[in-house]
Amino acid sequence: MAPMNNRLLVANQPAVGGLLDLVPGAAAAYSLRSLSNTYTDPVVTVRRSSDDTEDSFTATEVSDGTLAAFCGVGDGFVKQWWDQSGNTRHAIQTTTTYQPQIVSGGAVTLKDGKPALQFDGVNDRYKVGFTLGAYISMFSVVSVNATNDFIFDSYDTANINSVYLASSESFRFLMNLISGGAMPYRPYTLASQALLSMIHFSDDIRNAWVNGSDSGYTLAGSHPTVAPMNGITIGCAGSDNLFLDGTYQELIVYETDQTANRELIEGNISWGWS
Amino acid sequence: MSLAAKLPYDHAYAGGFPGLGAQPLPQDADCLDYLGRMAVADGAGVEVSVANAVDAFISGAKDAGVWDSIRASCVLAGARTLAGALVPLRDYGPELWTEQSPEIVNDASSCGSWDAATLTMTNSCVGSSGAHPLFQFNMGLSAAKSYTVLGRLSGDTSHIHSVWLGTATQLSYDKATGVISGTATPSGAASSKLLFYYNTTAAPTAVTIESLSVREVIAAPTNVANGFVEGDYSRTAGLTGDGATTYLDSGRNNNADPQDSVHHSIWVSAQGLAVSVPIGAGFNLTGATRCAVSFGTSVVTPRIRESAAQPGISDAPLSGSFFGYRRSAAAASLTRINGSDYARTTTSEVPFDGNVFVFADNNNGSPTAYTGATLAFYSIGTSLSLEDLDTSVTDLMNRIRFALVTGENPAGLDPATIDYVLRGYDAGGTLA
Repeated sequence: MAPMNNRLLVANQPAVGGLLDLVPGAAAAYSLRSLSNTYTDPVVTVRRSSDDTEDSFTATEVSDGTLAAFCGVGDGFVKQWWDQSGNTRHAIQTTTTYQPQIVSGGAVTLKDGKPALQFDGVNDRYKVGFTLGAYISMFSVVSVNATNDFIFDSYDTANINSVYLASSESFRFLMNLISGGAMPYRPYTLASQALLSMIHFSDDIRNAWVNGSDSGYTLAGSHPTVAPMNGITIGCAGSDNLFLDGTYQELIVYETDQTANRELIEGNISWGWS
Repeated sequence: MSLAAKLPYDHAYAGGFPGLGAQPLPQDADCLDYLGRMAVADGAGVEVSVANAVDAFISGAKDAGVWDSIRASCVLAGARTLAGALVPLRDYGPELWTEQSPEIVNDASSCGSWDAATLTMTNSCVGSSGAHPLFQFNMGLSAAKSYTVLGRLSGDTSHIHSVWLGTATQLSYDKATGVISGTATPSGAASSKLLFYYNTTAAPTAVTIESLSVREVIAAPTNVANGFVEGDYSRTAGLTGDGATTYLDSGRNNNADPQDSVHHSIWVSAQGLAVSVPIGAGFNLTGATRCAVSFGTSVVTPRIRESAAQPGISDAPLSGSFFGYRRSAAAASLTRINGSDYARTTTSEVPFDGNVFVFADNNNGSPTAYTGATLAFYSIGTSLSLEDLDTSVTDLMNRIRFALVTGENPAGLDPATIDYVLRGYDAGGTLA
C-alpha cells in the first residue's frame, strides 16, 4: 500500500439538500431562498420606483445588497415571484399598484431578520392559473397584521382551499368550502412570523398546522361536491377581496399528499427561516 | 425571532435540521412527564421555547432543593389552552420507599426475619396463621392522602397473603407474579405503614422485594362549575379571577401537609382590587392557612395554621411578583412579599380539614374572599425556602414571557439577559 505522506483525507461532505431536493414534485414553489441546490435562476423580478426599471435577482442577491443597490434610495416592488418547482408557474403581477413591496427607502424589507414581500392590505396579490384539483398540500411562511386577511386561496373561487386570520390569535383553514373550526388554542401572535401547513386529500386526510402544531382543525357542516382550485391566489381571497396586510417569505404547493413528509418539510422551512 | 423555536417540543425536527441548525430540547424527566400531560390536554405540545422555560424551572427548582416540597401546583401560563394550564405540574410526590428494616409481628408460632442486605422477608416456622408474620414498613404515610404503590416480589410469592396500606386498605397483589399495584388511601390502624402479611402454612419460605415504589398521588385541580373559561386565560399573564364566582379547588386538603411544615405560593401577574384571599383554606377557623391581601391599601394579614389573624403586614404583592408564605416550625412562620420576608413566632394549630382553594378561601366548604387578580402560578406543599422558590418562579415567568413575546428560545440565556430583553419589549422595542 502506498504511503499516505501524512496527508489528511477529508471525505466529500454531501451538500445539505434544499427543500425541493428532499421532497421534490411541487406544483408551484415560491420563496426568497433557494429551494434546491440546483436552482440558479432568480427568485424575484423587481421594479424600482425611481424609473420603473426591472431586474431579476437570485436569493443571494436579495440578501447581499445587490437588490438594495439596484433600488438606490427608492422602493422596489416584486413584479414576478419565480416558481422554483420547474413548472414555470411564476406569480406575475403586471399592475404596478398591485405589486408587493420588497425594498423600502433603499432597504430590503425584513421579517424576523430575513427578506420578505410586504403585502399592503389594499390590493396587492398574485393570481396564478393552472390546472389544479381540489386536493393539495400547502406550506407557507407568512405574517399577518389584521384579522380577516386572506393569505392563500384558490384561483377564482373562494375557499376551495384557503386560509385567513380569523382572530388576532387564530387562523382559520377552509378546505373544500367547509368552514374549519376555529382553533381551540392560541397559536398566533398578531404580526408574528408563522409557518402554516395544510393538507387536504379526502374527508379523512384534512388537517392544518400552525408552526408545526396541530391546529385542532375540525370539520363543520357537510362536504359538498369537490371543486377544482384552478390555480392559486396569493395575498387575498379568490374573489379578489380581503387583502393581506402582512408578509410572505415562502409558499409551496404540492398536488400530492405530503402527510408522510410534513414534519420533514416543516423542519426544513423552520430552520431555513431561523 | 425563530420559527424553529416555535416548533412544538415533540416535533421530529424540534432539536435541529441537518446542516441548518440545532437547539436544546427539554431534558428533565419530570419536565417531560409534565409536558406530555399538558400536550394531551392542549391537543398539541407547547413550543420548544416554552418547553425549555419549564425545563429550566424544574431543573432549577431541584438544584435549589425546593422541588420535592412542591406538591399541588399549576403553572397557569405557557400552556396553549386553559385545559393545559390546569394540568398539575406533578401528579406524584417524591419517592417514599427507602430501604429500611421493618417491624416484624409474629403470631401463631410464626418466625419472621428480615435480611437487610437482600431485602428479603423469611419465615422459618410452620404456624397456624394465614396472615403472619406481619412485616410493617413505616413510610410516614398519611390517611389524608392517596398513594400509588408499584412493585414486584420474587421467591415464594404465593406465601405473601396480602399487602396493605394500614390495616384497612388492601392493595392489589398477584401471588403468581409477585406484582403489587394500586392506588389507595391508607386507613385503619398503622395507617402510616406499608404492611406485608405473610402466610405460615409452609416453611421455610423467603420473599424478596425486587422493586418497590410508593408515591403520593397529587390530585388535579378542579375548575369549579367550569367557572373559568378560555377567555380568562392568557398564555403570558395567566388566569384572571372575576372576584365573585370563579375559583379552583386545588384538590389538596389543607391537612395533607404537616401542621408545622407547609407552604403556599402564587405568582401575581396583575393585582386584584379588593381585599381577597388568592390562595388558602380555613377562613378564621382553627388551623386556617391563608393570607388576606388588600391590594388597594397594601396590607397582608396572615393566618398560617392559625385561626387568629396576625397583625397586618404593610405590603402587598405588586403586579408581576411572587407571593408566598410558610410555616416551618410550631412557632415560626414567614411571609414573603415583593422580595421581603416577614417572620412571625405565633403558635400553630391543628390544620383545618378542607381543600385549599385558589382565587378564593375555603370557609368550611364554601368559597369566600374571591380575588380578581391574575395569577400565573400556584404551589402548595411542605415548608421550603420561599426565597429560592421566588427565584425559580420569577425566572420561570420571565422565560415563558420571553418565549412567547419574542418567539425566541430562552435556553442558555441568563435571567438578567431575559429580564433586560423583556423590559425592552415592554418599552415598545423588539429584537428585530
